[in-house]
Amino acid sequence: MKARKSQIKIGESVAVLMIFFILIIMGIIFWSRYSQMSATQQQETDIISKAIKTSQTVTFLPELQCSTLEVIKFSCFDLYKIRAMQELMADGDEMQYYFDSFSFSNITVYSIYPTTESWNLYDFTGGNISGYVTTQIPVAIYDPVTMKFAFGYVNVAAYVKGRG
Amino acid sequence: MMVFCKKGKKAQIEVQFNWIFVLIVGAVILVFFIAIVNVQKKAADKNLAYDILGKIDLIISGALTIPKTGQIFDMPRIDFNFQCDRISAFGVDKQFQDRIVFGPDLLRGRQLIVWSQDWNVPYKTANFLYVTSDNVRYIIYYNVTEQDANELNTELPDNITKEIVHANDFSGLEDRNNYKVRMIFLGDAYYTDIHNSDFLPQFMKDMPDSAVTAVQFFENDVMFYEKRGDMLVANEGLTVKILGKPMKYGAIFAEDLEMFNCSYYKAFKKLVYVSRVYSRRESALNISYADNNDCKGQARADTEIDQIAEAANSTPPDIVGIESSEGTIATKNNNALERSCAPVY
Repeated sequence: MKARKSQIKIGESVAVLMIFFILIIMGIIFWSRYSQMSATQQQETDIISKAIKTSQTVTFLPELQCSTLEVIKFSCFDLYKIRAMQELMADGDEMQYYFDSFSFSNITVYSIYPTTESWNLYDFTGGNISGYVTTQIPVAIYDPVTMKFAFGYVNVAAYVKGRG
Repeated sequence: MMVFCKKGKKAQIEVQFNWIFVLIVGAVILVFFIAIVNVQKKAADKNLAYDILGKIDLIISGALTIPKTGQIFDMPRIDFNFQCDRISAFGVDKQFQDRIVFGPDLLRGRQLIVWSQDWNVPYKTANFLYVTSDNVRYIIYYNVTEQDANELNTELPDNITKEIVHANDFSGLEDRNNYKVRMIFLGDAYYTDIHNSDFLPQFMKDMPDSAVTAVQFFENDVMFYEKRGDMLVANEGLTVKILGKPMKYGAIFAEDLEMFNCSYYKAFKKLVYVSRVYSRRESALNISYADNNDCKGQARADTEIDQIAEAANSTPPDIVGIESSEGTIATKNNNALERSCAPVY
């Protein structure tokens, strides 16, 4: 009778422990799913901030900015610098150098007034992409020969790398 | 009697078993929770480091867009390891990419000080960023040229912990509990004095070797020193030629020769690529000005810009060559502005 009683007691303890561990396992599963979700959210935030950072970098690039002596005009690109940069990106080792700054992205400058024109400065997908996040920043485009300004914007598309 | 003894033994075994059972299960549960706490702590530290490094990255990006400004930011009580291409904490790092940043190898203190300067050669090439902490002590040491020391002191940002010391007062310097001391010797500091084992004040001798560093300037040359035991030892034969004041400041803020060189070559690489753009621009302007003799041909500076690119691309960079082309480009730029042509820069 006593042996049965103690068996029941041990059985009770084991049952309590099992329930305890089941609850812990459920907690871990819930927590890991939550972590996964927040990691995905973090990834999305990272891509958006990468796009903003890249567009900020482009806007302040001395290779594109208008200048007189050492005075830089903000939010202004020199037309001749844009063209020079486009040519160099097409045939030099510039793509490799600028990868550090622009990573997987597409950078295009658009002139929308008085004439419509566009210059693709950089485009590197690096294989599979699953989407992109774009940011646009308005810029003035200055022609140093005619001394006239055009209105345009720089479009930065940060690529989201696909899996596989 | 027999029955009583048997019962007593059984009860003893039962009680002992219960205790052992409770002890083992208790230990397992305790270990389990300790493991969870450890994992969570590591994850929380990493998250914190990730957040802070992200903010530092934003600060750096922001500072680069507003040159010539010194900014102060409150720092958490975390040690940041700094290299010329990255900053890290708790195993998480943030790359600087092509940004040119100078700073000590360890950032510790209440405030992070960020300062930036334009590097123009002669056209704007890059923004140099200087990062330091309020707990790094900068000592400008001079013998005769107090004016130079005062000038440098004024040029450096106000927020850093800096002071000017005459050679005669140097041995009397007192400890201020800084984790790093950087000495800046101007050209007239005597080489033999610096290499003397009695040169350093006692508190510097007591500091770890890595905490005391120095840099010496001779016009356009810079030499780095490190502390070994009680004395300073120069990186013999390894003077580096610098180009412009922003690079001089870089030598002041960089931890050592290796870290300075890393940012130094990054800067000249940037100069090569910026020059290529300027050179192509000049060639295109030459074509556009086909009917304007004042603005084409010799008025354009593509040849000199190409020379700069070539000089910057050599190892070590040909500073004299760059400086000579710089002068010609500046003259051509002024001429272009006077003739209402598109300036070179």
